[in-house]
Amino acid sequence: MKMLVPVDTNPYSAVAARKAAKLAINTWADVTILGIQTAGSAANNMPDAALSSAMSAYCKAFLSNAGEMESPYGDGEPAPWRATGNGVWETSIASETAKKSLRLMVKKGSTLDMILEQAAQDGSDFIVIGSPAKVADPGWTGELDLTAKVANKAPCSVLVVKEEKSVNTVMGILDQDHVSQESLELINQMVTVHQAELKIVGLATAKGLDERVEMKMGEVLDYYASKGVKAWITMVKENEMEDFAARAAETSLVGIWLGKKSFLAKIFSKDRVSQLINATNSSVLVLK
Amino acid sequence: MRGKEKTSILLLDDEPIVSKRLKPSLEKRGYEVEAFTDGFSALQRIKERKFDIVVTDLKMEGIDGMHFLTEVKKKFPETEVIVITGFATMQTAKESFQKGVFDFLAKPFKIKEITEVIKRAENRQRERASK
Repeated sequence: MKMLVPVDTNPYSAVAARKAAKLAINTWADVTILGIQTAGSAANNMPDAALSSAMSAYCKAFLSNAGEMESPYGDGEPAPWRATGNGVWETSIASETAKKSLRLMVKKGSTLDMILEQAAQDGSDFIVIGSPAKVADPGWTGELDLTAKVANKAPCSVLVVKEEKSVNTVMGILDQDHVSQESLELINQMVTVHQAELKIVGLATAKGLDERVEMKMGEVLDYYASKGVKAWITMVKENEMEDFAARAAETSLVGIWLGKKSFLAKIFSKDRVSQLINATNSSVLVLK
Repeated sequence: MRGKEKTSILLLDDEPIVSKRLKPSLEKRGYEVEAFTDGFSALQRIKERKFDIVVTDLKMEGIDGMHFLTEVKKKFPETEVIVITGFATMQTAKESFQKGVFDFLAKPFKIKEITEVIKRAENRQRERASK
């Protein structure tokens, strides 16, 4: 799994980095921590000092979070920054014991564009990004509503991290007709890492549960049963789904599938996804 | 892995969709691939022949991947085993490496990622063979 962790110097990025570290150490993901300097930033030949210092601190979470276990990223320190392109600097952990890569990268440019560009270049499977708890709180510079834009536009799944709290329930809101294998796999990882209960939410039509939907949800249940994962199924009517998701996000990690073929994407317009992300204090997982 | 023979890969995952996705992609890249969805058949097959590389899921009904990888390494220590899992934990990763796996990949991953791991495994076998 390849994970991209965009960061800035705000406290929510430290929270996101810690969450990403926990996920990465369990999944042995190859990680890129990406800091973005806006074009007007002062330093031209080196990454911004405050940003690189914050990134070094975030990096430590990946090296120390393994407890007694050996970190897959080894036990070294980041090597000195080196320029790898125009307005691009990189460093990585120099450790002979590393089994997976932990790369730090700073890019100069538009925050949203740089995140999407890096996700495409790396072939990222997953983005973990911090977000201010409230819309009014100061957040990512240069882009209004950045995390929602990343969640909407990224080619892969995105975990928007709001606050540090334990996850007891993962609520997977799925489109039972087209849900992707990647989404099911990511939900599995979330349930495993958090040792959480899994609730699967399916869409019922206004008329109720039809035979086709019932069969599909039965298949989803069978899938989890075969994996030894206890899953609960809830059906929610289309016109109630948005409110349901907002309420569920208060107590659970909500994973909502908004892939290209998703019927849910029709219910949750891009503005509504932004509202869901902005309105809740909890983390939201947008599955692709 | 000898001369110009194709690198042989045994693929074991109880989810048919995984083999359906991986097998043709790897064959297109020039590998000889045999895919299995149950551990018993895969175990039977490794009694019949050696594979250069084994790619196995961990959590499966019947024979689990950890047992399968133990059996593979016992019979063919030089076979490189790559674990793919949808339920990754620090413990399973650590146990896998203790049992001698070449790499540990959590799902989801892209074909390119596993192909790169397979190439590294091939390189290690070539280096070992040249010594």
